[in-house]
Amino acid sequence: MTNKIDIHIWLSQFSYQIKRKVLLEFMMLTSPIWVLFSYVILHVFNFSIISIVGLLGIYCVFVLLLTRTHFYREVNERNILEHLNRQFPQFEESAQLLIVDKTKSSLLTKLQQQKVEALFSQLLKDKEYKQKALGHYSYKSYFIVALVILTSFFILKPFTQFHHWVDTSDFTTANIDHEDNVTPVTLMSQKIMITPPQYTNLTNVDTDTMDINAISGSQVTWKLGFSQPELTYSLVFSNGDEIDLIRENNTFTASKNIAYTGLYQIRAGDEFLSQIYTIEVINDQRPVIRILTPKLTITELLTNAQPIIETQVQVSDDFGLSKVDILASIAKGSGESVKFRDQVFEFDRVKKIPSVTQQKAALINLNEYHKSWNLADLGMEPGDELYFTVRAWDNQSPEAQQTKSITKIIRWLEDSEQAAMADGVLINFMPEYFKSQRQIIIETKQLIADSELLTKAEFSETSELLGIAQSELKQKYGQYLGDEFEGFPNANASEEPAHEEEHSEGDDHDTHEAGSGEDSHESEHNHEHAHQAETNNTNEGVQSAYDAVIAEYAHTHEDSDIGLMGKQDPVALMKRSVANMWEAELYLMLSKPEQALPYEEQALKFLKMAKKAERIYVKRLGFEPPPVSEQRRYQGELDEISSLSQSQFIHISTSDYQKLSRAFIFLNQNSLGNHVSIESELTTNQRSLLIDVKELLEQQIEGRPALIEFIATIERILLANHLILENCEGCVVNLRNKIWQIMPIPKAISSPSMSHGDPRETLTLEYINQIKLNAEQAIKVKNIQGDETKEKK
Amino acid sequence: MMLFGSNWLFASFSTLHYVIFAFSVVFLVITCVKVWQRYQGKSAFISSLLCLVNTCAVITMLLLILPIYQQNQVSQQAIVITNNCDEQLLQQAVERYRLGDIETFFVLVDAPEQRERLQGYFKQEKMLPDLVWLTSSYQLQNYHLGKSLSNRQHLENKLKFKALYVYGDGFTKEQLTHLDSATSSLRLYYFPSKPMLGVVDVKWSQEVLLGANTSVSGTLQSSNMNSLYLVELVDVNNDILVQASLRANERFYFEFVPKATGINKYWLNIREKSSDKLLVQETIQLNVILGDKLNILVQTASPSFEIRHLKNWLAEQGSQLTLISQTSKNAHLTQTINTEQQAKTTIDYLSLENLANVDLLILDSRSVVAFSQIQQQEVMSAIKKGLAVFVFIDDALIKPHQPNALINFFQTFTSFQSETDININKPTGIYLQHNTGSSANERVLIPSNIRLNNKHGDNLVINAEKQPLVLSQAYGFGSVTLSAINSSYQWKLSGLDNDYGQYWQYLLGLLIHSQDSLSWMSKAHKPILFPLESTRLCYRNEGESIRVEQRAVFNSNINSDKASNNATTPATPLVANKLIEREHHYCIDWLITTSGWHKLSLIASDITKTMDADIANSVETFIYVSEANQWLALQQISKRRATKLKALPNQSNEHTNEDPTINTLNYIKVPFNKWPIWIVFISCCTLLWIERKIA
Repeated sequence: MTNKIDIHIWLSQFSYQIKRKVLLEFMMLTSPIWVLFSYVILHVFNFSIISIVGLLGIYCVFVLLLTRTHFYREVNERNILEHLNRQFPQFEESAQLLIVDKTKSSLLTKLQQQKVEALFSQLLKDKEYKQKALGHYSYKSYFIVALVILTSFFILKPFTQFHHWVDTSDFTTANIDHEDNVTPVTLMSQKIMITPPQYTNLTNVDTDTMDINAISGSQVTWKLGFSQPELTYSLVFSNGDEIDLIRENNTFTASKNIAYTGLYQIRAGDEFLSQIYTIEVINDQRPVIRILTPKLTITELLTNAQPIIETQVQVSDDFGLSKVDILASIAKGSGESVKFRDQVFEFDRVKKIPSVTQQKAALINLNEYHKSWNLADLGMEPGDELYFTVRAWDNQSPEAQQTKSITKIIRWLEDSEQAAMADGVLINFMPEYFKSQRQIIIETKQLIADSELLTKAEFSETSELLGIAQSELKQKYGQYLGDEFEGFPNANASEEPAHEEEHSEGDDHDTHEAGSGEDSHESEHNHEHAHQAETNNTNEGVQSAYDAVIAEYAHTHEDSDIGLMGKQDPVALMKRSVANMWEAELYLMLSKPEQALPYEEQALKFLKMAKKAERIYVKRLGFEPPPVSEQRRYQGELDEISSLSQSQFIHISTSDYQKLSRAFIFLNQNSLGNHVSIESELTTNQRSLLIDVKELLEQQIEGRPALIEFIATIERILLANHLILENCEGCVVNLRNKIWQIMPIPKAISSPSMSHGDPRETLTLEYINQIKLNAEQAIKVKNIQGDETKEKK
Repeated sequence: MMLFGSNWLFASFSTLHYVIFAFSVVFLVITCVKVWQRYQGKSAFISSLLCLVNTCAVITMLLLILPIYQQNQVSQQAIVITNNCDEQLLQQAVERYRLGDIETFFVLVDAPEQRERLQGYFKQEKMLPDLVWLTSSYQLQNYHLGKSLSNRQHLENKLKFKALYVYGDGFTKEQLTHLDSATSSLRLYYFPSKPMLGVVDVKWSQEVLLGANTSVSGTLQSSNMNSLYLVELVDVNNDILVQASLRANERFYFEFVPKATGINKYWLNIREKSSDKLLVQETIQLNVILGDKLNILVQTASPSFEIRHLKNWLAEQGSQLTLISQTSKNAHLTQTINTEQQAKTTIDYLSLENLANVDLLILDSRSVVAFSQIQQQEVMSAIKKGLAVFVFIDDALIKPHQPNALINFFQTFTSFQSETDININKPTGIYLQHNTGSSANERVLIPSNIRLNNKHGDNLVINAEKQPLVLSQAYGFGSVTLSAINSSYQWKLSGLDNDYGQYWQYLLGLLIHSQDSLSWMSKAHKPILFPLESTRLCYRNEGESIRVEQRAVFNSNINSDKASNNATTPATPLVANKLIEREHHYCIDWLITTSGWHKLSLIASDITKTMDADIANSVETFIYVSEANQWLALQQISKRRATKLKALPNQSNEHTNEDPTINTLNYIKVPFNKWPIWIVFISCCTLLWIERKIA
């Protein structure tokens, strides 16, 4: 039994060995294929751990499957014993008897069993026999081939990227692309803290947006986390600055004070991350000064007016004002003796106005300043001038920004200065006469009011005195208008001295549109149109004296000095005023103050208008010399004058418009849905075009920091080298739209006709039409003639 | 509904049919004789019956084999439903169909959503089986009844309509022309649809020069006469360039300057004013081109600011300029800009040979007066050959001078006098006569004190009193222009560069004509083209034969490298026909197949040059074709107008409206039902077989 058990144990061991041999042989047989297969798989998956583990797993499965094959299962006791019979003829085909139960076998069988058992024991002891039973391993050559192939892969490395598992320092390789095997660095976390300058009183801002929008001078602190903390990182700015990010645990921090709009990128080791970020800096604006009063640049103060001028100014700033004052200059004297004195003044009072918020900057500081100028206190006298300008500083630190307003002028007029200039003639508005006209009106009104209280003689006398005063005033103004006062043409016209004045031919009698008294005046005028009445003044009684007075003082229509009757012409207005004074004087002398009053008021009105009349100066653009007649030309010595010839080539550089236009067209290809591949790489020309546009935008960045977004888009396009940008949908379209917006209206260019007919075609058509017309006419004539012939017949 | 008139058989036999018939008769006789012989002496009844059955079998066999039809009467009137039929019109159509003697009900609608709507409507009306859905009007001309027949029979049943009741937008002009040619004396009764909201009579120039003022004009169409709409022109940024508040049938005129070179796309939006809702949006595409460089010769007796600024403006654009200014009695200052021409004497510059290369000759009055006789003749000859002459006039033309042929010519179309009234040196409005429509053309200048009186010239620029300030007269192939404006440079000095540029662009565009031997002529086609339309394009060719190619252009930068455009799309050759009565004048009738921009090139083939060189020297023009789903209101109104013109006037929908003078009945061949014949045939054959078996 013990032998049986030994035999079975041995057989099982031997069976195991055989099976192992079978497996190994099969593995060797398939080893070249497996090597090739494994290499391909590992290459595809970049020799990653997962691929290796997977491959091993597949191999194990393959091996397991192998054990299920019938080749493998055939290795059993019976087949082994049969195999022993084949290998050892000594067994005489009786090896199977080893496992037969002796008790049940015959004598002969038992004898044979004993013989076989003895042989078997010998087999167990002899290694050679054992080896013979097992047999040699086949397919070794296949295994050698597999080893050779594997070795060649290590040496030659066909399209291999497994160098990172192997030290490649001894290998000379060229242009191996590392990128596919390098995991790109990604920004895992970002936190930006923006601390505005203290003077702005703005609160700190924490954000996780890498695009920064801050006030100039803000301190920006970055706290970033990356996927590969072992690398070194820095921030590179578009103005050339670079700051290193300092590692604190797994966070990288950096700080910078920003003063310029620009772009920045993150550098990881030697390479840049693909994303570009913008920094948009909002500059602190200068204070804004608005002078509410005085409104006009030059304010004139009459001599006798109260020399007090009120000044009201609004000053605003985005963050605050530090100081506001007035810089004044006082000019005393005139001509060569003028002296200037500068002085700084403060405002009398300040009033804060509630804040007004606009889009980005809050006008939180709007103050109203008041000052009352007493010119006398300043030591000024009539004829002096005060020039003042308001200065304001904001609270920017370290250096405040200053704004100056326009200069206002306060002119304290002297008596001689109250004049109006018209056509080179100075019309002097003397205050007393101006007051006199007003005084005449006041006194006329008083006279009308007192008419019932006064006697007839007193009433007439007062009225006549007013008439005289009106006449004197009229004379004074009339002198400037070319009126002549030579006395009355008819010396006998009247005994009353008030009537001795006469008309002058220069009087303007055309302005009869004055007021309500016109109708009655017109009816009187209808009687008296001729100056001839002046010559026939006799003592014919009240009627004729009345007529004489009328004739003396009535207007004639002969002289129509129309002049320039422009609305605002001072001369015309003065003439109207004088004309009304004539009428007023007439009625005052006739003791009809109520009829004179409207004319007096009209005269005053036109006086005021004349004083305020605007003068329009038309600047002549260019100088057109008067044409010189041919006779007068070239009268000098002509010997040394020779013909000259000049040649010039004007280099037409690409204008800003052309650059923007081309860039727009290029970017528009994408959005019009055209069949142009936007994935194709940028050509050299396209790149230089985009660079030009970027430079144009950079020129405007100072005043328009919002353009930084579009500069960033251009940078991204240049980096990517095509129009498709990751994580930036609509960027290219926005850039295109912005370019369209800033593109100026193009200048008109010259060109031959585009739409009008070719003159050759026009002439041809005319010729053909004429021929047709002639032919039709000929036919008509022929028909008519034919009809006539028929009729005759 | 089928009209059953005289319902009688009608057969059209060929020779084979007659042979079959003859054989059948012979067979029948033989079989009947055989039957008679077999039953001779037995049963005459059975033999008679057998003969009868035999005869039936042969007859039914012949009926099955031979082409025999039934003739029916049908009406030659039809109802056609076209686009934009509302429910009211549909009801009228259905009522007419049901109550009148109308044979067929066609639906010719191309918009898918409208087709769906109509399907729903007719399904409700239970008329779907009666409808014939058409995809083109061509099917109306070739409508056949009985489609299950063989081809030949199908063709014979072609129905020619004599009266059509058209509801909706109607037909296009081309469709009506085809219908007319196919059907003589076709009477059309038209029941139009309501006008849809949109822009009609729209006009704009597809090709404009850079910097030129472009105009878009049109009329707002709407069925609602009281509503107020906002019509606005917007650019690619959705910024509103111009806006107008309009009611239906009001015209608008928008002017703007396109910004970029190449294709510029703008949109015309129509919004309801009260709700600001966008109702209609149409696309306006134009091609802004850079002009050709000019070659200009200027001769003046003295320098002037006007010439100086004009010189600067032209030189900045690369034009070639030669300026001759008299500096002394016999001395001149000659300036050449952007040209490599060698310096010549003054006489040589004004020679016919030199003037042949010049586009424009600018003179002042004193130069004209000082011309020698030879110079006068040379200039006059050059004008006849195509030179444009521009003269700044002044007192020198009025004062006594030597006899001068040029001045004599001036006096044939104008006269000069000095202004003496108060308007001397007063600013006046300047209007460009050929830029019609907008008052935005007004500019203000002080003209010279010479008044031009137009006899029969062409006013190019006028003042506020409609008096000419710039006057032109054609002479031969060229023209002579007199200008009383010599201070346009003031616009430039005042910062109105655009006004200055547009003024000279306008003048030069009118005066100077291209003298190339190969050129496209001005386009006379409709401003808006659609696919499947035909348009005529003409060109002038004085040289060797050329080939004409058309290709669709996708690249928006159609002014860029010509070769790159050609590389992307295949070219379609076009055939040109020479016009009778014209020398060098050729025209192409181009059938448009696709929408978008198309480039048409005239390529002069030169075997000594490469194909790319040919392409680079080709003369091109670009045409934009709108998509079929754009400008729907415009399409509608053109159909309505064309159909109204063709239709009988004053139609109401009374179904008794049919014109009794038309014989609108026709006869058609209709195959009759052969199933009963088959049954009889089989029955007869069965009976004969039974008889044989029993026998």
